[in-house]
Amino acid sequence: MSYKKLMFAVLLVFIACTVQAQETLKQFDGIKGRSYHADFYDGKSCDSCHDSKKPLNLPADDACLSCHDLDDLIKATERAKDEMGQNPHNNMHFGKDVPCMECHGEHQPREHMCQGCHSFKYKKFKQ
Amino acid sequence: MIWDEEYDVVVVGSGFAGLAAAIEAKQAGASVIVLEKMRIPGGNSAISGGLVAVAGSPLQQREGIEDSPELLFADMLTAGMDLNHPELARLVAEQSPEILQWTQAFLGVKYSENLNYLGGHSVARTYVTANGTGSGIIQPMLAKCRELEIPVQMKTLLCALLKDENGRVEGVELCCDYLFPNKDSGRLQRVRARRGVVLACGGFGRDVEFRMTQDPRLNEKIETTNQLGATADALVVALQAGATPVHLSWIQMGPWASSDEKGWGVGSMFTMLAGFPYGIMVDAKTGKRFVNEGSDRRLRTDAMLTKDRIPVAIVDSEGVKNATTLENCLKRGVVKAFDSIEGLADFNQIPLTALKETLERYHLSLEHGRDAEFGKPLAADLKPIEHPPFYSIRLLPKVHHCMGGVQINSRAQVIGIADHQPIAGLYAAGEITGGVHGASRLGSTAIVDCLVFGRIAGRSAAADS
Repeated sequence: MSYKKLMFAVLLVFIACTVQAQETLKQFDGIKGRSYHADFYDGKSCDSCHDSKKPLNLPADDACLSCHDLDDLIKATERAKDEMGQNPHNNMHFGKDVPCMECHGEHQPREHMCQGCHSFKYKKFKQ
Repeated sequence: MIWDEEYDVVVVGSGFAGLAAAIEAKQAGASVIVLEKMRIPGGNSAISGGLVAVAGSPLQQREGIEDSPELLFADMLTAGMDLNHPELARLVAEQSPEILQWTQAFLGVKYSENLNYLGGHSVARTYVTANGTGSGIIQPMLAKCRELEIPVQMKTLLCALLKDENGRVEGVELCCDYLFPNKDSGRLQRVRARRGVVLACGGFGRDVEFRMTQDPRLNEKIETTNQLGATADALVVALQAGATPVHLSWIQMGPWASSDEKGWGVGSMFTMLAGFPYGIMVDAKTGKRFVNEGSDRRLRTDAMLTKDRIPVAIVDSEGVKNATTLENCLKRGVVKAFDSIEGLADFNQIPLTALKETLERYHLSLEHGRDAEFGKPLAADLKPIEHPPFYSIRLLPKVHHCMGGVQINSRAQVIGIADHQPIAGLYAAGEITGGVHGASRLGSTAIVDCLVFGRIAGRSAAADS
C-alpha cells in the first residue's frame, strides 16, 4: 500500500514536470508554436513575426519588441539586489543587448543562453 | 571590384580590442564599422573577470606598494617563459597606467577600491571592475560607439580578406545575416576598407578541433571558460591571407575554475582572489600541497593535471575577505563552509592527519616568512589558516586563453609569412595575435593587451593611406 502510494507520487511528479516543460509548445495546423501566440496560427499570420506571410528567413532580431515592451519585461524579471545581474532581460554581461530569440524559441524548445556557463533558476522560463 | 559598402576602417570583432580600435580610428577622423559574427556584442570580453593589471597606479600609491612597468614586464616574461616578443610585452606594461586613465576618464569605467594580488605577479597591482566582470568596460565602450555613431553590426561573419593587385588588403568578404554556427546561413557581401582592416576576433578556446591540432590533450572532455563564438574562423582567414602564425600551441588553462559549475562561473573569482593568495591548494588524495599557489597559470594547471590529482583550495574567514563572489559561491554550493578543519576534511575526503600536517608546515613557513617547499611569495598580510569558518572549493582547470595568433609589430601591423614584411592594410589586436604573452599569459594582462593594441591598431589603420 505505501509502495503504491510512493509510486503514484513519483508518477505525479513526473507528469507535472513533463507538463511544465512542454506546456506552451503546441501543435497547430502544420507547425508547432507557442500557445500564447495561438491567434497567429488561427489567422495564418506568419507576418506577425516574419517579414512575409510565406517566410523564408528568421524574423528580425527586434520583431518581438513590436508587441512586447522591453522595460516592462525588465521589471517583470527583476531580481533581488544581490542577484541584480541575473535579470535575463538586463543582465550583468550583455545588458539589454540580447535578442529575444537567443533564448526564446517559437517553433522548437530552446534553452536560455545563461545556462551555457551558469546554473541560475528561472522558474517561469518556458523551454 | 564591386563593393556593397565602403568605410575607411573595418573592424572585425566587438570585444575590448575591436571596440578600442573603432573608437580610436573614429577619433582620428576615419569612418568606421565594427562587425560581429554573433548575435550579441562583447565576445569573451563581456564575460571576463574584468581584471586589469596596472604598474604604478593610484591604488598602489595609496597602499604604499612600489611597482613599475619594468617589473610588470619582467613578470610577463617570467610567466611567458621568455617566449614573449619583448617589444610587444613592454608596450603593454608601459601603457598600463594610461589604459587605466583612459578607461576611467574617457569611458567612465568604475573599479572596486581594493587592489588584488594575482598569481605570477611580484606585487599586488590588479584592479577589478565594480561589477566584477568585463562588461563593466564593454558596456561603456558600446555607449561610446553609439555616441560617436560607430555602427556595430551583428551576425556578420568574416569569410575572406580581399587584396588588390599589389597584395594590399583593400576589403573583406562577409556573410551577412549569418546565424552562428550555421555555415550555410546568410548572404555574401563585400565591404571596402579604404585605409585598413583591423582583426580583433579573439582566441579559439571553444574550437575543439583546432585546439586539439595544436595541443592533443585538449579534447572535447576539457571544458572551457570561453563563449560559444571563440573559434578559429577568423584566424584561419588571416592565415589564408598570408599572416605569420605565432605560438599557436600554447593554450592556457585556468587553474582557478570550479569542478562544480560550468565555465568561469562564480568560483573562479573566489579562488583567484582568496583561495590561492590567502589559502592553500592540496591534493584531496594525499592532503599535501603540490605547487606554489602564487605561481603562473601554466605551472599550476600542469601540476593540477598530473598524477590524477584532485585539487582543493582551502581558506579561512580571514582569507575570504577579498572574495567578491563568496555569497554567490556559497549559495550555489560551489564553495562550502565548515566549522572545523575536521568537517572540511571529511566532506572533501582528505586524509585528516596529512592535512593537519600540511597546515602546520604552511604556518611554519608564514612564521619564517619563506615557503621552503614551493616558494610561494608570502605577503606581509598573510595569516595562518586557523579562523573558522573554513572554506573549500574543488578545482578543475579549464581552457581559458590562446596565447598564439598572428604576428604583429608595435604598430599592430600583421606580418606576412612570405617576406616578413607587414601585410599592407591589415592590422590585428587582442587574443587573435601572438607574441605578447609568450608561453603563458600573466593573469589580468589580457584586458590591458586588448586595449593597448586595440587603440594602436585603430590609430595605425586610420593613419594609413
